[in-house]
Amino acid sequence: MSLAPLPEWNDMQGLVLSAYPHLAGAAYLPLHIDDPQITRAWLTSMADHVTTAFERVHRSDIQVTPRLGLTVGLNLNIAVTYSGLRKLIDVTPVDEDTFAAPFVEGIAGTLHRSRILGDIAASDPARWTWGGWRNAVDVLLMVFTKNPAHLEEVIGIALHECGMSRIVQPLVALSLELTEQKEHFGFVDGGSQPILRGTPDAERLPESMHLTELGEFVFGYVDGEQHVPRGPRLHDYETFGTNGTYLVFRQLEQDVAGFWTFVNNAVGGADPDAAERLAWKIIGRRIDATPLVPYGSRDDNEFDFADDPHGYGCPIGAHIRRAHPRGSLPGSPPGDRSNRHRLIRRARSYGQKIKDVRTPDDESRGLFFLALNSDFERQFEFINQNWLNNPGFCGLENERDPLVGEQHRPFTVPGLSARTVVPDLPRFVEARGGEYFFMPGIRALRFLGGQKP
Amino acid sequence: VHSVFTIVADVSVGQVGALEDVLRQIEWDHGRNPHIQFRRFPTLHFASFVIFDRDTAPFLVFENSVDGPIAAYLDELMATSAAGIDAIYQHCADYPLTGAPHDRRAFLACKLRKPQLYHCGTAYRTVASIKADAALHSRVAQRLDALVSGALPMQLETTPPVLPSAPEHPVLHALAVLAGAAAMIGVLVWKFWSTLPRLSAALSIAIAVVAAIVASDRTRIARLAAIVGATADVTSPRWLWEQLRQSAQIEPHRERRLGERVRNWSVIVALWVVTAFAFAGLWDRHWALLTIVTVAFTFKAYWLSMIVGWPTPDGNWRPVLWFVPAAAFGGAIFCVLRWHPGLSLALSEFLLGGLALFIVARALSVHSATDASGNWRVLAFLVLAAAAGWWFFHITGSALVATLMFPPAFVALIFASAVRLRQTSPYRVPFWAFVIGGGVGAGGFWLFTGRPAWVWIRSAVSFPLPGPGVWWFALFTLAALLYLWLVPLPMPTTKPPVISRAKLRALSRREDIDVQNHMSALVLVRTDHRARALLLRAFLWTLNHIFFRTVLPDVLGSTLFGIPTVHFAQWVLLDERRFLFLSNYDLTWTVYLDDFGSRITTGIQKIWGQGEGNPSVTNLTRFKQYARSTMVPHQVWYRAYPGLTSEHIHNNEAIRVGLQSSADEEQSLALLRRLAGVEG
Repeated sequence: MSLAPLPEWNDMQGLVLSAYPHLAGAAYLPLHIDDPQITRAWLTSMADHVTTAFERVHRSDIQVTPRLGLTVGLNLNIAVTYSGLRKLIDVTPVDEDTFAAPFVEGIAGTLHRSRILGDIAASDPARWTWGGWRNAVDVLLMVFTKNPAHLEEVIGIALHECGMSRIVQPLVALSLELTEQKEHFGFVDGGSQPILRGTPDAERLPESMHLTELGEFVFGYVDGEQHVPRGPRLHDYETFGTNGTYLVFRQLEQDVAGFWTFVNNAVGGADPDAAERLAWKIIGRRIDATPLVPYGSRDDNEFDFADDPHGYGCPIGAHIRRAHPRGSLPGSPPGDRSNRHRLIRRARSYGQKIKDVRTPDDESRGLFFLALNSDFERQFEFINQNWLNNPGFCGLENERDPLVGEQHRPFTVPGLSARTVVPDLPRFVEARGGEYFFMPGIRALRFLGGQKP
Repeated sequence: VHSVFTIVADVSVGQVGALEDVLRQIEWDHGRNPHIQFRRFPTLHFASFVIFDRDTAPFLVFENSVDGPIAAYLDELMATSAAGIDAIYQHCADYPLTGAPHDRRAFLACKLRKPQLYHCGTAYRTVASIKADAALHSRVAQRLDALVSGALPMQLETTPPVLPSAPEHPVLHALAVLAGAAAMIGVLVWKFWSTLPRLSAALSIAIAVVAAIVASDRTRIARLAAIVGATADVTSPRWLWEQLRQSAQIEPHRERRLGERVRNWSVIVALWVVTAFAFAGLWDRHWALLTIVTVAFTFKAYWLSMIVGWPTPDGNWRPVLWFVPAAAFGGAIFCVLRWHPGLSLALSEFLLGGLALFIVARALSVHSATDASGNWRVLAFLVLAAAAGWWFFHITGSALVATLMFPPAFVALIFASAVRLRQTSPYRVPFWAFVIGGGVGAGGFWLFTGRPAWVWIRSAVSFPLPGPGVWWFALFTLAALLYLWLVPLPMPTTKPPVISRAKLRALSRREDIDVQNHMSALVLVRTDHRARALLLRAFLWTLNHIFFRTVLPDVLGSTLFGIPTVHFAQWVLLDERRFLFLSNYDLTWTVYLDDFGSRITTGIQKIWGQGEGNPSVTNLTRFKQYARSTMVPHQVWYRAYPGLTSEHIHNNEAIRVGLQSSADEEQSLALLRRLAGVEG
């Protein structure tokens, strides 16, 4: 038995530990490599500027780390796709097998994957504006600034001499100052996150049910089954995966007016309060994120659906219950805290807030869904396949996730004395783009830049 | 009666491509292709065509799960789809394409393989009854929609009630457990000291039983009051259910289960008798009884642990606790036996009944849909069992024979497990069945015996009881069956074969189109141990007759030891080197394999562990990789009722059964919940 390695925070990208809530502006730049030689040089120089987890652990938010010669509050992170890797380094067939199959195939790589992710009909990858096989992406540059007005300038400097002429699609997030900390449907989002062992948060909340091993997300550390997943390995760089993680990036467009009009009509159209309550039931939380599980007086996120077995509070098919069933699945051992199917979510909204939630406008808005995990199949895809898009989830019949699922299916609201059924939900969330990335550690990033390990 | 079988035929050299073309046409449309219109077979649950070993020595496997006898299905197949059969099997070796129809049917019959082991998650259900129940459910659901239309806004207003779902009286429950433990200690102590601990043991057990009764009854009353309070402002559940009952038109259909059950269970009874007499013939009575009691209680305790909660590898100790009272009862009976054999028997029945009652009480307090009068029935049964034990001793004069021939305690356990599992199973084992069964058994004995049963058995078997040699042989046979448990298991260090990603894609391409999925695999048996294939055959046979044909459908609610997601699965030994595994399961492959690997580890280890390259199921990631490597994508897969999981089928049946009799408030509430989905 060996001691668990101490986390090398200074070799890990900062996005693992923080969503950077102190930096209001964010832009995600999916890039296409034209000249790998120039891109390598660019990556080498960027490796000095990329935000590490060390800064999150050991420095406060107020301190500004100078980057790119600028002294404005600014963070940078970089991830690559499999096609990007192939352009930058030599990947042998043996190396390829050490990468996760979904990463190699891409988010739109197989029909089966599109099916389990619900990427069909209007969400078909053939219609995406970026990512997938239609608009292939090689590199993702993520830029965060304190002042959203600085984004353009920073991007200009960051992409100077990068060897990547083409920005597949610039994706600029809505400033955090304008979001009022809510996603477009109006709910507080991203409140339920795993708490990584070994971080200051974990020390603060040693009893939390969300404590999760670092190895569930970052390669080179102990995971929930006490194994140490090593991640991708290269013939000339055995520890290429160490301190790296896989990143899921999806652009999800939200039909806000459609959602609120639907819930309004579903309750008869007269009572806005009732409409809001139905929206709660669909999400599984109230607008302010307090849970609908009516029992106990625990912290807002330390509840368990075993307290609400019939879904009288939070319906069995509600979004948060499908996304994270916490004790509502039959056969799940009580007190199971291995958290084997968790995601670190780093989502931000895009597009302007809607003026009136019941009046459609032409603006496109939604969520940049970013999530970190170490095993797509066991984490991100598992959640989609077995929970969100599973028509038989927890014994329900022919339903999907009422909020994000592929639709025209009913939604059952359990209650006394009998359930009511909201029939024929339209689809409120459509995929508009996305890709699977690998977010390497700093050393691995330098290796991509051509530096020998 | 279900028939589960495969037809395995070698594909002629160079014909694979042509065969695939035919199969592709069938897969394109199961109802309107020119070859076999599966949709027209009213008795067919699942069917598939799979070509295994495509690139080496290809053979075609035609998997079938049907209602009724095989012969009738083959007749129907030949009558309706002779041309289709020709189109397929003309590409197979030895097919008499130009022969008479009965030759072709003979070809199919000759290539037919019955599985050594199969499982059915919807035992006794016909395609027609499954479809009828599903239709009934949707009719009732529509009626309910009409009854509650417009109730949504109001339902959203109300705060959900807090219904007591956990045992309400932890003190009483703890008392019962403590008393059980005290009983065990008392019995152990008695071996060395005198009568006082014996009394205290008996007292502890009595306390345990009474505490359990009181706790469950209080909990039930509290629940009823909570429901009545919570539904005071809304429509009463009972009224709603009455409305649904009145409008439901239930098509009468009878499922004949009794004959099949008797036939299946007779194997177990025969094994039980052989084992018992083997012991009885080898040792004198008291030692034999000691052995039987010990074996029986170990087995029963194991059984209890299954009922109470499947032992899980994550440190769930709850099941193990049940060994404590079980061992106590076993020891107590043996001790009293030496003092007074008749009392011991009565006590045995009473104690086992008490144990069963404890479980029932637990089930009652957890589960809401049980009878209001359940407790009294159980208590009555308990007294009856004790009386029966005492009476049997008196008429036979032999505690041994009485224990062997009429194990009411065993029945009590089955009853207890049935109640516990009613949560997932619609099969209700009615109380009167036990009373009548016990009565008939006892009456039969009384008719046949004016003298001790031992003498009667000697004379009934017209030759004298065989000597010890035969019993040694019987024991040896049983030991040989158990030997399989000693055959080396796979080593966790084994690296599973690497699978190409193209193959993985080919497999996943056919998956998750529906809630039902299909798995077809060919497993190579390891050759390192000569007895491996033979033992595997013996193991599959034992498993099939002792568990899969009897305990699983009748006690475990048709679940695969608690896994409710399988429709039909079969294991077919092709030869000494290979076995087929074909399964029609619910939800996704990942979850299916997770269930395998975490809930029925031992059995899977015994079967799949014989496979070449198996890295042991204890490493789930590797085991999955191994399982994937054995799989071959199907060419055709037909299912009669897509969209229905096995749990839905049981749920629909429970709704039908519920509609056939009236229900109180609590039962109505539970039944109405079934219309929202399967109860978790």
